[in-house]
Amino acid sequence: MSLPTENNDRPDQGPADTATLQMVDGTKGFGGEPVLRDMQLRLNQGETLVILGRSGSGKTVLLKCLVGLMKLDEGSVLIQGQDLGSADSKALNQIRKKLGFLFQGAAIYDSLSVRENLEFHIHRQLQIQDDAEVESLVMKVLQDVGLEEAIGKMPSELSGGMRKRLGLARALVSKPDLMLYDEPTTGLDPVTSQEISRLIRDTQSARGVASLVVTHDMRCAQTTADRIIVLRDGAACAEGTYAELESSSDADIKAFFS
Amino acid sequence: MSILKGLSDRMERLGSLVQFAFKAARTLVSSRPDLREWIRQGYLLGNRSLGLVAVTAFIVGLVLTVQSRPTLAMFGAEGWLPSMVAISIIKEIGPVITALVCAGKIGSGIGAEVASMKVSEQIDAMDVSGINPHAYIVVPRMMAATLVVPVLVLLGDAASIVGSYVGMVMTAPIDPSLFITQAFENLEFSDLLPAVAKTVVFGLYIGLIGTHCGFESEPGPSGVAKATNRSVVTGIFGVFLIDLFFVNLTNLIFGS
Ligand SMILES: Nc1ncnc2c1ncn2[C@@H]1O[C@H](COP(=O)(O)OP(=O)(O)OP(=O)(O)O)[C@@H](O)[C@H]1O
Ligand SMILES: [Mg+2]
Repeated sequence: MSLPTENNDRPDQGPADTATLQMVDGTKGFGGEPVLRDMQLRLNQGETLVILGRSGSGKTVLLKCLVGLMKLDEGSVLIQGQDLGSADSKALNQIRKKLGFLFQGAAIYDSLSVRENLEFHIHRQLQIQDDAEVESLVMKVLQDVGLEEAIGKMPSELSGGMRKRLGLARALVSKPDLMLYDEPTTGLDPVTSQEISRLIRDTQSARGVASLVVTHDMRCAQTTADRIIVLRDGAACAEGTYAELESSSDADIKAFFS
Repeated sequence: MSILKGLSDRMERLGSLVQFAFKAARTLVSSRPDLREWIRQGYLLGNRSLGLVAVTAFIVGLVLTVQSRPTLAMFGAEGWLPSMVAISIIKEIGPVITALVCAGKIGSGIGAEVASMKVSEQIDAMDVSGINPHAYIVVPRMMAATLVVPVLVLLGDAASIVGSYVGMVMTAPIDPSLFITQAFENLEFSDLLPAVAKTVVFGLYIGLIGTHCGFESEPGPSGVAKATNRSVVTGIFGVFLIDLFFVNLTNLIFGS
């Protein structure tokens, strides 16, 4: 007896179980204005996918829909095969405990110091309470993002770039299986930008983390991307490696690379 | 048309408040209480409001005494003045005045703080990591307000009684211990219990409204301003509704 498998109806997308994150026919709008239209996205295990798109093209909305912070009007999102729309809150929290998200505005907890911002997530997301272990995790991740000196500071004492790096540290500290970065290098100097890009690359290669990177920074895209998607009019208008897209003849795509 | 829309908006908000309250209640019973955080928040809220509550309550006690004297004097019942003022303050005026001051001071504080957390995506940051924001934001503030408002009401009542004494002395000197005896001689347990019980509900309500308005805040600085304003207005309105409900309930139980 042979049972038809689920994967057979989408041969072009490969078997579903290798996708860490998937959006199928995602549609989202605000007050009649469409932002995403039938958006398809697939992030494979251990892959880094970069999303390019002009300001206001819906990149942040896309990321938020992918993690369930915004609800799609139509379509569905699957994380490790689990449908976000039908998962109950317990299952959803379980999925989210293994997820890191860098917000475009960093979303630092203003009432907590740099150290406490990280400890909050270590205690609650990783459920680690041992002081020595927490301390070593905090120091390690602060070194990674180059923020050791600021450990005792309050967020109001940090510069924009430092906040961004703290947001990044906080997303990385919980050792996620899936990382989403919303413009990780915006507002940073070129040297730090390149360090952060390498950190994203290293995180991916060291632990096989699947990563989704939204960016305008082409050096960051070049350093991190296995594959790039260009977002236009609410859907992916081009897809390929950095080299493939660089040699594209489409004027809009060329503009990113010049 | 716009009346209907306003009404449906309000019903929608009420529905979301009820849902929000259920989630807070579920979080409260299912997680270990973080007493230190409750007390820390409670201290912050109480400390911020104590001065305002004391001054307002003192003035109300004083004014009530000075204003009531001529009427009672007309009937030759000036001896009733301390008792009448004390009963009005402890049963009704004290709890309501203090709750209104708290709805303004505590409600706006919580509303603005939580709304700015919402707007800067701090609540989303918890959500997206599978950390329940109700446990760290809503429950501590709600419980802090529930604990602190009754204490503030008692302190406010005391300030009102002192105000009343000052009001008495302004016309004719009276011995403090005689004043206290006269003030409390007609006060019964059935006056005190419902008065204290409703202050607990006032506190719970103010904490809940503040956090809910913050959670529902629209994006941007104007969202924070609107949420703050809404938490004060809804808070004040709700204090009167709760009071109305409690007065009728008390009369039902203890007889009017
Ligand atoms: N909460 C919201 N309510 C209404 N409209 C929204 C909301 N969030 C985003 N939008 C709209 O969706 C569109 C896409 O916004 P989005 O923030 O995703 O852009 P973006 O690609 O991230 O831009 P940028 O590079 O500037 O960050 C914009 O037109 C914006 O006005
Ligand atoms: Mg964006």
